[in-house]
Amino acid sequence: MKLGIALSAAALVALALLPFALSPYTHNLMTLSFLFVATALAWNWLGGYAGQISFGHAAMFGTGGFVAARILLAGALPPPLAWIAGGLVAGAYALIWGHPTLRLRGPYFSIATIGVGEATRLVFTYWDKFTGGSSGLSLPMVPGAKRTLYWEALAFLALIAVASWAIRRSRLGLALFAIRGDVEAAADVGISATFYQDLVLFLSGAATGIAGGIYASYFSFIEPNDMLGFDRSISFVLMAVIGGVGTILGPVLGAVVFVLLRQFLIGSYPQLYLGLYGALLIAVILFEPLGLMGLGHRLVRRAAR
Amino acid sequence: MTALLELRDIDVGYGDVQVLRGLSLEVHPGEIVTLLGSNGAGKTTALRAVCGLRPLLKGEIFFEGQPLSAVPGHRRAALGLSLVPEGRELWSQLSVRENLELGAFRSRARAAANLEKVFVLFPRLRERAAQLAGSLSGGEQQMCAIGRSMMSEPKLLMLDEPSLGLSPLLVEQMFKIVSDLHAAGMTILLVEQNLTKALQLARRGYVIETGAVKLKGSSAELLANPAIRSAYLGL
Repeated sequence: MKLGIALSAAALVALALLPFALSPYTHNLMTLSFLFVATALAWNWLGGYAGQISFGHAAMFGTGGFVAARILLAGALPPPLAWIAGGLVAGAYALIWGHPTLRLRGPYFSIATIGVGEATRLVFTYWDKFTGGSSGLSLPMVPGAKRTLYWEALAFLALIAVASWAIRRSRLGLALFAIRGDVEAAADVGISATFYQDLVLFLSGAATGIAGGIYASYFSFIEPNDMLGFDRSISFVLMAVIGGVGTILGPVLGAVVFVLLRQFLIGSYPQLYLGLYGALLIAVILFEPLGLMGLGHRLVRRAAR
Repeated sequence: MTALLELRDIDVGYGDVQVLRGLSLEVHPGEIVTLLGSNGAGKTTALRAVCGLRPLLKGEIFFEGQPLSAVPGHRRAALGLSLVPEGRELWSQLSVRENLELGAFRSRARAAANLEKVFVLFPRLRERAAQLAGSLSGGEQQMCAIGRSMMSEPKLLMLDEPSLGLSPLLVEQMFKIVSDLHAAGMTILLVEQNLTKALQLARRGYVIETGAVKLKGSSAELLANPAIRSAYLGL
């Protein structure tokens, strides 16, 4: 435990000092990784802890991103507050569709989230006045802002990592594990599945929305098909599944592997990369449902023998 | 004396299939009552209805004189109702301690004291506290499930076939545990297929068939009833 905290702190310091030695390309890739790791962790609160697999988290990423972008364009709030506002709207939006759909479990909930994600993407694509339609929104570039954003994204990631740990250890975490294990038994001991699932979806959606806002600021251009595409929702699922659903280190590893893989696949096989994602998802679920974490445990056990 | 639990003329079904047809029964404070019947008679469904896991089509359930229909399932534990479900339904991926702590989800204030009580009742659970519940033996799992229920300090403990799947020796132990709990003042509604054992333990019993009470009476009367002896005991 102490070792874990020490290692995490050392990694944080190293990452914070890194931008002084990075090329712009690597700088972008790192910032993107921080945001993806954070979203993978936030997705995992619902998907891993509560066992409700969402294929619609892009809806909150997009909502948070566009709300923050609009606030920044209006010059109404400084960036961090605009991101938080975007996150709150995204969390509220998650509650609107989540409250009725979270009573579904397993594949039924997942299918509902696919519908929500696609519907939201279409609304955002045709809502020209708010999102700029397919041509999107451009935010003004501020010189030197990218380096600050690197640190802000890193700080956000650190916050989400600590929150993941805190939720796991808390009464909320215990309730979510109980709901994942057996909804009826959870009701028997007095846990309201509705309340705790709503709560965790709100938190997860808000965190995803904040990530969307930081993403918008960093890339200073967003458009609905990128922010809310189905492949974005899939990417949140993939990162957690590759790493290990329900764990904390899992989504972190999964997101890093995913970002590197994505860069490689988009560069080398631009037409095929979605198909390759699918194949990867199937392979992980078939052979190692607990992802890299499961694989790690298995190797450690084998080495111990 | 008002009944602690009263089911008054309830109908319950799953989709098109009606399982309970006008079932009525009562449990008084301090009693141990057994609900008997063959497979599919509706015993488990009756308990699920009491817990709010199945909606009533007709009738009403009263707990301490208050109608339960307006109380959602997850609030019924706080009233003092607790079910030890058929097949235990432990969280196999959580530790024994976490399973027990979840039992006290609504009564955290006394969770530590109650945990100690459960460990005194079942010393085996203390030894296994850090183990995953799924790795326990059948008998230990049953202890853990009963312990989980005790954590909420229930006024009424409902046990759904606690002897299911246990070896004869453990069945004896389980009935001893139920008997001890009752001796300590717990009101118990016991669903069993093991009629002889259940009737030896309980003061009264109800025999249900196709969703309604077919016979009721004191345990001695039921044990002596020739219809029961032939239908359920094979004597």
